[in-house]
Amino acid sequence: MIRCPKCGTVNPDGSRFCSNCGFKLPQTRIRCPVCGAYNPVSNIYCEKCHARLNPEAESAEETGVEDLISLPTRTNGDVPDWLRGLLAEEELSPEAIEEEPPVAPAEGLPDWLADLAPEEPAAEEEEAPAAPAGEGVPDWLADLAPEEPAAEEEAPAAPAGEGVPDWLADLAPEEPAAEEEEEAPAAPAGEGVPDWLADLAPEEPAAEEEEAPAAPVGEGVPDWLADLAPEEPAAEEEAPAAPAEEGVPDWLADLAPEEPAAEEEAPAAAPLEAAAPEEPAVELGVEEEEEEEDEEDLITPLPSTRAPDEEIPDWLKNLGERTEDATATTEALSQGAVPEWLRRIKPPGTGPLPPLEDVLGEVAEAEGGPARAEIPDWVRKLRPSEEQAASTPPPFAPSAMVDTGPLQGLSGIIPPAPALDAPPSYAPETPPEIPQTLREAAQLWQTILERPRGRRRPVARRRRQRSPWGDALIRLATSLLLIGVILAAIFDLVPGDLVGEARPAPQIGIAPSVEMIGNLQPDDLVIVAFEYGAAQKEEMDELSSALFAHLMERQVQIVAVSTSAQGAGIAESTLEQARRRYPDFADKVSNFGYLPGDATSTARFLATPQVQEAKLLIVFAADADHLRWWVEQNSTTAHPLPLIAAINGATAPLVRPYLESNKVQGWASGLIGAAGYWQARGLPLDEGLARRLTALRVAQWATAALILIGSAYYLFAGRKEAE
Amino acid sequence: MSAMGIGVEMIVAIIAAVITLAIFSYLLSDNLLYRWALALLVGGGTGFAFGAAMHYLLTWLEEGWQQTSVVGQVVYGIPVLLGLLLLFKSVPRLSPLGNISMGFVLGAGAALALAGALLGTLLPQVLAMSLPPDPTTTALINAAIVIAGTLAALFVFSPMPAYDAVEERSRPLILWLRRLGRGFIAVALAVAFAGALTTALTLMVERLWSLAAFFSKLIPLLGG
Repeated sequence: MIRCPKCGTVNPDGSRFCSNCGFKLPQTRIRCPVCGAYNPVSNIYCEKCHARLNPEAESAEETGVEDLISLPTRTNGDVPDWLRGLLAEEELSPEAIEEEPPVAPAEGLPDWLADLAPEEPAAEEEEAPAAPAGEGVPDWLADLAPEEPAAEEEAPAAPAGEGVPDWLADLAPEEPAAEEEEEAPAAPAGEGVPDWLADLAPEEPAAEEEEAPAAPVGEGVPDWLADLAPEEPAAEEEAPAAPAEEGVPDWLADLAPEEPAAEEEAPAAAPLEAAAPEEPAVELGVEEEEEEEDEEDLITPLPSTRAPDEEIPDWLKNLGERTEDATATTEALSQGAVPEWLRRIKPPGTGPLPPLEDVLGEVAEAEGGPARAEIPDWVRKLRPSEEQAASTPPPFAPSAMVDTGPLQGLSGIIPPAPALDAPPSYAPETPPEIPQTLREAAQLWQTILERPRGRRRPVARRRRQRSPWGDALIRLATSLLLIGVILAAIFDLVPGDLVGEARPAPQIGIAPSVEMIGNLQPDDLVIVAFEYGAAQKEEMDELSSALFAHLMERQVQIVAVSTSAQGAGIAESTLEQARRRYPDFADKVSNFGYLPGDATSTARFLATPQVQEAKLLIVFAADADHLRWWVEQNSTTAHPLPLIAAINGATAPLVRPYLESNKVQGWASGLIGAAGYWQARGLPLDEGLARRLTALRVAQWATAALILIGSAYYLFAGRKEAE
Repeated sequence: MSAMGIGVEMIVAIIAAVITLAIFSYLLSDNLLYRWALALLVGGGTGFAFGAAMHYLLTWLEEGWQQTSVVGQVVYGIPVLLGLLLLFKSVPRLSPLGNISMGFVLGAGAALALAGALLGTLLPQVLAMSLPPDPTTTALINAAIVIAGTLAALFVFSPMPAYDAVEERSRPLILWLRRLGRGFIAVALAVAFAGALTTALTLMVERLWSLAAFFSKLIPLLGG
C-alpha cells in the first residue's frame, strides 16, 4: 500500500495519484515498459515477462541494438495515414530538404553521434576539432567506427559529458575534465527547457558563436522543439546554413561539434533512420515518472525527412548488412513505439469509433490510469446491481442525429444529460455489513428512546442533614444499652427465668476434640500453635485454658510454636500460667518460639522428624489464613497429624469446610466452644465463665433486638424520610 | 501473693482499665484518648513483633556462628547472604540485587501454597461434597443446597451487559436464579457477620468483666 504524503490516505499498490486528494504518489513499484506489470523496486527484470526494467543499469554489451533504438526513428510508413498527415504539418516538405546543400556529418546529428563519425583522413583530422570517437559513445558504437586513429591532440574535445545524459557521460573515455571546460564553455540553458534537455545543450566556444551566422531554426522542427533550442547556431563559416538542421531538431543540431571547414568533405551525415538504431536509447528509466514516458511517445513518431543516401556516412554505409538489420529493427520497434490504443484511434470520419469503454480501458491500461483496484470497497458495494444496470439505458449512448442547436445535423454525438444524471437507484447489490457491536448499541439506543417518559428516573438520594450530636447520641445510647445489659448479666442482675441456664450451644467437633486429647498417653508429644495476637487474647484465653487443663491432666509433653511474633509471646504467657497452675508438670512444657516464614516455616517445622512423632496438633487461630497454612502443610506431610482447631467466633464460619472435609478432626470455637469443652468433659462451668456466657447471650439478644428495631425504623420511617 | 506482686498486678490492671476506657470513649466521638490508646496498641504490638523477630534472628545467627563444619556454615551462610541482598531493596539503585532473595522467597512460597492448596483444601473439599453410596436424606438436601447455592451465586456474578436488564424480564428463569443467588450470598455474609459480631461481643464481655474485676478490687482498696 502507498500512503499519501499529503493527506495520509492509504492507496493500493501501483497507484499514481491519491484516491482522496489527487496528490501525486511516490512510486513504490516499477512498471514494466513491455507488459505493464508492476514489479518491486529492487527488481531488474520483470517478474511477468522478464523484460529489463532498468535500462540505466545495462551495460553496452548486454544491450542489443534493438533495445537502444532512439525514439525519433519512425518513418512515415510506420505511422497511420491520418497521423502522418498531422505530423506532416510540422515537418519540412521533402522538396525543401532536397534543395538544401549537403550537410556536414555532424550537422544532422547530435554531437554524441557526431563523435561517432568515422575517423577522417589524417589531413583533415588535424584541422577537424572533432571529438574523439570514444567520447560519450558507447563502446559498441566505438567498435563500429573505422579503426583509423583520431587526432585527439588537436581536437577541441567536445564536452561529451556535458552534452549527454549522465549515463552516457559515464561511458565516455576518461579525459581530463579541465580541458573540456576551458575549450568548451557551457552555453546557457534555454528557458523553459527541461533540465535533461538543457544539459544536452552544446557547450560551444564563444568565438565560434560570434562567427557563426544565425542558422534558420525550426524549419523542419516542430515549434515546441524549436522554442526549446538554444539560440547559438552550430554552423561555422565554412559550413554556412547547415541544412541538416532543417530535418533535425535544432537542439540536436546544437549538439553537433564545431567542425572546421574541412568537414565539408566529410561524408554525409548518416540518416536518422540508419543512425538512430545505433543511438543509445533515450528511454527514460522506468523509475521516472509516467509523464516523461508520455513525452517520449510524443517525440517518437517524428519522422525523418532525410533521404537515406544523403545522410548515411561512408563508414556507416560500409557496414552494409549491419545497417539493414538496424533499419529492420527500427521499423519493428517503431511499430511498437506507437501505442496500440493510439493506433486504433482514427481521426473523425475515417471509420467507426471503437467502444468507448474499450478505449478508456486501454488508455487506463496504457497510461497506468486509475485501476479498478483503486476504487474503495465501500464505493464498489454501492455500485448498481447487474439487473439495475441492465434496466438502465446506457448513459453514453450516442444519439442518431442532433435535431436542434448548433450541432444540428451531426450524428454520433454523446448526449451530455444522461452522463450527468444520477443513477436511477443507489440500492447496493449487497447491504454493507454492520458489526454486531454497532447493532447492539443501536438496539440499546432504540430501547432507551422507546422507554415511556412518565417513568421516574432514579435520582441520587439526598440525605437529610443530621446533627453530629444526633449520631453520637444514637451510638452512645446503643453502646450504653449493650454495656448495661452485659454488666447486668455479669453482676447477676438479670432474672434467671429470663435467660435460662447458662448452657452453651452444642458444637460439632467438641466431642472429638475431647476424645482425642483424652486418648493421649503421658509423655506423648503434642504440638500447640498459637496464632493470634493481643487483640484476640481474651477470647482465645478461654479456649486455651480449657484445652491446656485437659492436656496437663494427661501429662503430655507440650511444645508451643507460632508463626507470628505476637503469638510467640502469647504462647510464652500461656505456658507460664500452665506451669504455675500445674507445677508438677512444668518441665513438660516448652516454647519453640517464633517461626518466621509463614507457610514455609510451617512446612519446614512439620517435616522435622521430632514433630512427625507427635500425636496431636492443636492450632489456636484467630484468622483463617494461619489455620489454613497449618492444615494444608500438614496434609502434604507423609504422616499428617490429627488436628484440633481452636478458633475464635469470627473465624469459625470461614474454616468450617475443613471440619466438613475431615482435614480438621477436632473443633472448638470462641467462648461458647470453651464452655462447651468444659461441659463435654462433664465438668461444671466456672462461675465467672458462666456469667460471661450469660452476658454474651444477653448481649447477642440485645444486638438482635437493636438490629430489628433499626431495620423496622428504616422500613417504615427512614425510607419515607429518604423519599 | 506478695505486696510487690499485688502492686504490679494493680498497675497492670489500672493501665488496662485506662486504655479500655479510652477505647470506649470512641462511643462519644473520635477523640485524643481513643487515638492515644489505638497508637499504643498498634505501637506496642509492632514493637513486640520486632523484638521477637530480632531475638529469633540473633539466636539463629549465634547458632550459625558456632557452626564448625563447612556444611553447617554453608547452610547458615546462604540465608544470611540472601538476607543481606534483601537489604539492598531499600536503595533504589541497588534494589535489583534484592530480586534474587525475593524470587527465592516467592518461588518457594508459591510452590508450597500450590501443593498445600491442592492436597489440603481443594481436593478434600471436593471429595467432601461427593455423596456416599447410600446417602441419607440430610446428605442429599445438604448437597442440593450446596449445588444450588453455588450455581445461583455464579449467575449473580456472571458478566452480562448492563442493558440485559431489559431482556432479563423475558427470561424469568435467569431472573429467579439471580435472586436466589443473591439470597445465598446474603445468608453467607450474614453468617460471617454473626461470627464477627459474636467475637466482638465476646471481647466486650471480657473487657467489661476485667473492668468489673478491677473495680471490685479497687473499691475495697480505696474504701477499705
